[in-house]
Amino acid sequence: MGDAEVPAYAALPPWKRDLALFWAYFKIAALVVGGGYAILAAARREFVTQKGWLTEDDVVEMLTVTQTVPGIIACNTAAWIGWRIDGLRGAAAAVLGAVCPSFLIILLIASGMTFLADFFAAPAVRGAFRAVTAAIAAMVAVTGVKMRKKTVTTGDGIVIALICFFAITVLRFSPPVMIAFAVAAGILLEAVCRVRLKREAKR
Amino acid sequence: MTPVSLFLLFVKYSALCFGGGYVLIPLLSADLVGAPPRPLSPELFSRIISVSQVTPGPVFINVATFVGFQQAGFFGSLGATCGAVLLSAPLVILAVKLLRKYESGVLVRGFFRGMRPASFGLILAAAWIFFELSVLGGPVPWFEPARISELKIDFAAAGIFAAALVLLGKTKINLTLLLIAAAVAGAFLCR
Repeated sequence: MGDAEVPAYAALPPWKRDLALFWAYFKIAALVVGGGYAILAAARREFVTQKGWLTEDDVVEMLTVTQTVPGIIACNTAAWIGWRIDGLRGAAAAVLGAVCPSFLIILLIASGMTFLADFFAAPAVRGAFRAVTAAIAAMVAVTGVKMRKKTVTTGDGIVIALICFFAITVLRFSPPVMIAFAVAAGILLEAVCRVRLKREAKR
Repeated sequence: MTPVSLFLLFVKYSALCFGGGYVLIPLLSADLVGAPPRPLSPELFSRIISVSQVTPGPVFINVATFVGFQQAGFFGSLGATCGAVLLSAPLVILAVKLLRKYESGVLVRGFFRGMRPASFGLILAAAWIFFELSVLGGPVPWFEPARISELKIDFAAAGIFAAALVLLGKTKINLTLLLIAAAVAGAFLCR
């Protein structure tokens, strides 16, 4: 990433940006197993670490927004990044890239299921899947750790983050429940802070 | 079902899926899975879910394409998948615009105050789930939490996890390369 404030993609004509968005997402969706969070982490690696088109701050905003909006996380993040880089056309290009590989692979599997079902049951394929999932666990963990300083800035933030983590991993709450909890807690904390500030101002 | 009804059905599902595709499985079970008048048998459905989880790409899209094909062939797939992605871009763009517009309001500031740290917790939880599925040998597909007694450490997968952690954290290694290398190593070592 350069020191210039103009983003690296600004020099590219729109069609080249769209193509790059499509191809980046196509590649990720064709390779990454595990769905939304895995694809999001791969996209961060592509657009922040490799291309330098987005900053860590962008990723934080993307994370918070795309998880709260209903829909498929992978497509929501693709839409966010695409829109950021080339408006509606960019969003369409990225979402299309995220969808095409799945669509083609599953179409093949669905039309010739018996032999592909055997393929996925083979020990070597299961081993490969397990190893790729292990690498993806590392990639998602690295993404999380890189986000820490930007996401957890206050004492109540630490508490919210810990509650979300343990509620999901240990108590097996579902993520939507924790998202609703976090939004409610955040609004409550913010409201309480404002009331306090007003009182202090009066004194 | 016709491609058009599949399209509408998956528009509805995507609008109901908060926080990712986790809600899709119960929604589909409630609508489509069951004995004959219902279109999907429980056996077929569980096969669809397991295949969708072990093939690359967003799980929701995999399920939509699969269910669409089972119901109405190629055009069923197309209808279901288009329905699943239709709302993504409009809703995300609307959300960003609303958040920018009311930037200093209590609701928006509170939203970020809660959701920023929650995102951190959620993404680490996702990392833990992948870790459990691979290194600790949790069962795929993961409908239900694994029992501790069922878990056993796969040392080859643990090694790959550690190597990936170092490479991704410290270097700019190409992700495609890393995943292919992991797959090849796993095919031999993680059995």
